Amino acid sequence: MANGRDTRQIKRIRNEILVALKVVYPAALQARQLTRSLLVLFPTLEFDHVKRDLHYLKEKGYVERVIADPDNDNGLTPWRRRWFRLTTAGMELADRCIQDPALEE
Amino acid sequence: MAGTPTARKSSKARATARQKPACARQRDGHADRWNQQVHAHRRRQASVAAVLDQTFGRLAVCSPDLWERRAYLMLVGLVYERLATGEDEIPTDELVALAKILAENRRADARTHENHRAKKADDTTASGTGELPDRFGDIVRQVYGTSFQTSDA
Repeated sequence: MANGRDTRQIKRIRNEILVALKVVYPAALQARQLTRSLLVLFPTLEFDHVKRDLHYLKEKGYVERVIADPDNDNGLTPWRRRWFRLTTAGMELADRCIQDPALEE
Repeated sequence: MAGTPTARKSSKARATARQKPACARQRDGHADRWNQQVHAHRRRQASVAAVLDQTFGRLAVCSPDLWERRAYLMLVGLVYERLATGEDEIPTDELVALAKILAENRRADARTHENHRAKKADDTTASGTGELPDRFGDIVRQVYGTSFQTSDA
């Protein structure tokens, strides 16, 4: 359990993040937009969960932050308004070309 | 044969399967509901992907520099969000923000074009003998009877 979520739900949410980002690739989505679309499947989802999962996926190299031109990021952009895009590894995972046991159900 | 141990075992297994514990039946029910929801969500996302591809696909392929432009990201994100969540109304503040960003983007594009034009004009002027007039070489030949050569020639 992590923050009241079981392993299966964590994996499902992470997978859905990848699927959503794959739909708009090579563009990106704001964390706020991602959360709203995930609420369709996970009505009790909280933004902090998405934030944790985005951070995790970023650390794993599946997702990257996009600093949109002409934004200047001095670290003060709120999380909800940050843009995220799939990396090439994230795209391969979303396309099931590669596998990650930590994300498989 | 009905009386054989194997047959007895299989009928017993069937009976056990029929009498699944309540928690297992509930779990199956949850899984079925989840699968249906995911399936519906996937269908919707596939439609969203088709719309995005028709609207922005060619643009995205032809202009990779757009991928990090805020106006492009805002438009794609907004279209995705509205279609994927099934909301049909855009709040006024979002529309205002989008309009401002598009206007800003247009101004930035215009500035970039102007800069390119100015640079091109500078390059044209600077070609040949740099600061010297175009016919300077001819004048030197007429006056001194020799060819004028620039230092990088």
